[in-house]
Amino acid sequence: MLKTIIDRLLQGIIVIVCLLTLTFFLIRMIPGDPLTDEKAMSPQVRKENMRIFHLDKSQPVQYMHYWKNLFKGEMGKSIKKEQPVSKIIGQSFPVSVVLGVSGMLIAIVIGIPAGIISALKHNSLIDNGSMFIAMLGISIPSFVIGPLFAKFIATQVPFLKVAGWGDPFDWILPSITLGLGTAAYLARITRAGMLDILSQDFIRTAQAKGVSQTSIIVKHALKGGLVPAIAFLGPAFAMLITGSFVVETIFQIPGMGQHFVNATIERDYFLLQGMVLLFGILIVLVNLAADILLTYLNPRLRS
Amino acid sequence: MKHALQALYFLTITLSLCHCKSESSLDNYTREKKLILGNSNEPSGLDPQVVTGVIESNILRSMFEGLCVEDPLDPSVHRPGAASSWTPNADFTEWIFNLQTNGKWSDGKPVTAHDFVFAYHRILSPSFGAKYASMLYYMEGAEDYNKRHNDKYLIENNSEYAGRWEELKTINFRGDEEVDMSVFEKTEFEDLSKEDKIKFIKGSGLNKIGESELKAIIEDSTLFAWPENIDAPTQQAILKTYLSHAGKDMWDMAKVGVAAVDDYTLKINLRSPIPFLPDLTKHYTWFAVPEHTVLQYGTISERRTKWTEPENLVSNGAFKMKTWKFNYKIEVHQNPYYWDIDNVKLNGIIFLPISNQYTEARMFYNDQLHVTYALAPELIEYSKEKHPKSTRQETYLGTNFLRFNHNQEGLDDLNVRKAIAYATDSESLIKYVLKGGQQVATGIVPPMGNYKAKGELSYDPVKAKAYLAKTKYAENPGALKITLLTTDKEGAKTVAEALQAMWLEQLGIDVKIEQREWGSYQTRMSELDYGIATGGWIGDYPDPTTFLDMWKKGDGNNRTGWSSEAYEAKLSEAEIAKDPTTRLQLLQDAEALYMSEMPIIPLYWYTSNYLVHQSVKNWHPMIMKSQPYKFIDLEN
Amino acid sequence: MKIEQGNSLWSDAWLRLKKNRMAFISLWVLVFIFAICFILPATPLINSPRHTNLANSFAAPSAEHWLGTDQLGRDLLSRVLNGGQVSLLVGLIATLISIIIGVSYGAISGYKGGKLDTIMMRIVDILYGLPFLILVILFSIVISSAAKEHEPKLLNSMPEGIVNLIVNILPLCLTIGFLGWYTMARVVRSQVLSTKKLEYVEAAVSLGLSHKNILFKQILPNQLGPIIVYTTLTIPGFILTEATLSFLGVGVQPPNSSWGIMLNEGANYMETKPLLLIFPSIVFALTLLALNFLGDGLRDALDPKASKD
Repeated sequence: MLKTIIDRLLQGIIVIVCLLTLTFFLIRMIPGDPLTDEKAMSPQVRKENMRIFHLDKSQPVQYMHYWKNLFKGEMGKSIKKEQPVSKIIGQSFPVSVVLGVSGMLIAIVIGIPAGIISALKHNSLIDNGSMFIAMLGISIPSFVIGPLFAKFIATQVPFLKVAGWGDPFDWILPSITLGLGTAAYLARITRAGMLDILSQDFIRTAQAKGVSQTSIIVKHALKGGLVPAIAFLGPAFAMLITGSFVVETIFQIPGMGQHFVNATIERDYFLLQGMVLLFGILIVLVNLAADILLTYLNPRLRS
Repeated sequence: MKHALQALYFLTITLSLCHCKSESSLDNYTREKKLILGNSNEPSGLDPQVVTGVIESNILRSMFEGLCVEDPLDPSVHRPGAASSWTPNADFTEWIFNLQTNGKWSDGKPVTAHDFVFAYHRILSPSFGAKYASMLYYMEGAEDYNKRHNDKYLIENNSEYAGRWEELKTINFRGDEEVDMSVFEKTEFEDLSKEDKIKFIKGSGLNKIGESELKAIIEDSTLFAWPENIDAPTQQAILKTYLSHAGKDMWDMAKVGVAAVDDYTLKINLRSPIPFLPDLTKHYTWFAVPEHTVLQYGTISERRTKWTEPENLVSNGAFKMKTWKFNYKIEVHQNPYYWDIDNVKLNGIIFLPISNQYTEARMFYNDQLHVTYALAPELIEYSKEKHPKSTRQETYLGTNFLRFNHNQEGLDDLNVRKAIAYATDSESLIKYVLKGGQQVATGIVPPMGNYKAKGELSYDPVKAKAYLAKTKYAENPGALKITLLTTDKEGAKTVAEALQAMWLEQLGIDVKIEQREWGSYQTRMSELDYGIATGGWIGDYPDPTTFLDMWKKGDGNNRTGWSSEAYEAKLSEAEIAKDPTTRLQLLQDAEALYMSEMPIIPLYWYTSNYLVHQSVKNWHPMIMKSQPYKFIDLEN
Repeated sequence: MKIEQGNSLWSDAWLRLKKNRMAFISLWVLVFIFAICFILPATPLINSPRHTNLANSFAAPSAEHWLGTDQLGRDLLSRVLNGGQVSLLVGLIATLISIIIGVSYGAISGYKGGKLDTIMMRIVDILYGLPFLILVILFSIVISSAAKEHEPKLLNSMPEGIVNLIVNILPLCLTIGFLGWYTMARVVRSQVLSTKKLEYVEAAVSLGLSHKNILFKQILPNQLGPIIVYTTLTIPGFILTEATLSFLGVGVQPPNSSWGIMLNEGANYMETKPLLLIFPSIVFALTLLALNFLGDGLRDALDPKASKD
């Protein structure tokens, strides 16, 4: 097991190197550069600025320069915001973690039980009803649900605000908005996975042998039934932490999601590299965690 | 809804008890005299000589103070700021500013004339690369210094070459603008082929090349296209002169028109009569920066040093930096050393970077904000109805227009441009789409002071069809294939769709809308890769030139492929005109000439729509939205 | 599939599907939605979706405009129907592309295992991490330059509608499909991994069946359930992604619209003109609900184990 983990972490490093390299060159392929602005600069000012931001070197030189700095632990400064990338990440990452983890908890707490119950009561009213709600949750996008929450719940409940990020009460509505879609996904996937397992022979055998329903579910069905849900959860978690752009702008949250979008739109090379580095690490870690969990749930995967 | 929650009463009480932060409600902030402002976005920085935007300006104005300060009621009145008084000479070319004798930086050090000279030296330093250095070109010698016109100091005014200027001026000192320098952007000089080296030097001119290039020419004079009348010894002498000054700051030789007569007297010499200099001094590019702090963290021409970090930032305005949390909030509080602190009513200001206009409006409706940055078109009517006393609609110094790409087939024909312009119904656009009380624009310059816009453009479908009939598209307007380039910012798409429908209906021209994200949109405009493009311009200072100068040939903001020598001649004439009335007349003539060639279609002059809470006092309409915070008060 | 093979997987499934009431109603709802989106706009009953009338913007529903008008005075019903064409096409084609890529990728990776699996899955990790926007902007450049080149030629030989489909909608579907298969691949891989050691697969291996046969005839059909469910889950995401891409210049260009674009724009009118949000939302949600219940029905019907009941 330990060997597998070390193996995977080494692979992870390769993944991150590839990711940073690809991003580095791709962002320089799209039109415009960090100095593109609504008000254009004269060629001479542009030249000085290219020099100031170290953009006046050829791409391979810039690339080597980037790695040299990264090894020294420097991610550079944001070009558009004149702030160190490490500081921007340092301030926004904790916020995103709070938002992402609470969104994830909401998704798991609602989604998985709903999926299990639906599967157990297959084709019943509860099943159809909860799947109906789940599907609504998926089909109403967060840019609609967020403002609805802000307008109809935040203005009525005394300790909630329509937007802003100060005390833990401010976490409630954004986390729900963020987690709801994922909860619905989870419910649907869990249900499908459970249905799949419940119809399998070994469960039927167990049922025939008269093993109690609870014991069947807990000891056998859950293990296999949660496989697809967990395969989905890995990337979903990484997405919740970094992909909360819409929720962040609706609730005015100083998280990371907006940097991902804005750094691309503003061609803020170093900020984007920093974001991608962090996201890459997250992806590697959560997928590793998901795979370990999967192996644990499904002994057949152990080779 | 509240009744439904009665069951949760106990829980609510418990939770409210934990919720001991009492300052969350706006009333508390009002009582504490802390103003909360929506400010759209995170500033790109807080160095007055580096930044270029409205967002940054809003914050800088709270912390820094120019020589003069806006009067909240009358735009023609200039209040004393860092200067207590000022006097121009008879033709407005020499100004004496007497600084506040008790003016202090927020660390207690006095604000002196030397700080201003230092700041102007800094922003004009060629290697500092300030984007807005041109705001100071009104000063004598500033443009030459900033643009590295070193031939002026090294050759023309150099006694070594006395009397030889007529002969030497044929040398390519300032670079050939026709050479496309962008291809050399990412290569070292040493790595270029000889052919490219020659091209690079030709494009740069002697003024803008460095030590290694000069040495290369000394060794191989064929790298530089010397005029025939310059003999080899002269060539070598000139190159030696340049080499001895390579990489050196020319400030002392440049004699830029700014000087500290004594610690508290600043003298500014202008290259032409500028009666509106007090207006310029309110712009952040003219602010002073603390020499002692800036130099503590770096050199004069170094950018992005630590002096603007929240714990280091020292300023001379009514407020000083308190906290700066990235993308979260910036808070400033009273600067105890401010010379006029007794008249400052607010204790602090909190700037929130709220980029989503709907969120901002919701926060305002829910009493979380005193003033919003903007108000989405969809919410203007709604706000007028629900919050009539809070909804503001004010003139804003800016023009929205459409650029024509003159390199595009069809659009190079003036009659086609006119046909499209006359088929554009700005009034309906304002009434039904924008809804912000904008004014139909008849020219590129919005009305300001004594300047009357010269255009006579109006919606006239009959005229539009008549102009189209004069073109080769008269029979088959569908043959005119044009793209309408627009961006993904709020409302841009709706406007584009409305225009598309208008032109289809009136002229039978069916334009293709291309919506691109901001970066691609800007790039495509610069590269003239469009047919018609939506655009806008906000004035930097209340003078027509802020709208007229950008259409000169080669200006990076022109982006139309249009240029006119006659137009530029008028502008140059206006620049040196001594009488303000004549000057305005010349500028009006220039605009009339410009509009007659229709390089753009002016759509509307901006208004600013936003919300101001009832508790905010003395918040008056300002044409450039440059609210002087020191006069503002909060009262419940 | 031949009728006489009465006991084949597919005809069995059809029989079982017919018995599932929710699924069957959903099927008809979908047929109905497709029909009104693709047929109704061609009839004179419906106004042109492009005809603007600024003076009549935000009109309430009336005999002339059944659902009222939008911000430019265009008929909302015709816009919902026309937008539906794009959204439904994107939902179908993009999903199909992503399934084909995702399922075969995941299946091969999971089945082959070993080094190949490792490499394939790490490639997916890299793709996950690449900023979505950059890829979309790059796609949009490639597409618009290709369109510029080929559009005039195509217009000479084909009607405009089809050219529009080829130039705008198809690249859009390709983009979404190419960017949207990663999770599907992961889900399928984990499923294949967990089944490939089951008794029946091992039996097939010992019988000497070819890998292709085992993978596509034995393993994958058993995984149809999760695949169908995951597919019905990706469709709403894809339809909404389409709006983002269109705002960035890939796909639907104004004045054409889609449900995703209408929802995005409608959200801004939530406070003031809620009808602009409500109508597209209803059709959108209805379609997705129907798809979902049909998907569930299909899942149940195709479940080979269920046939033992």
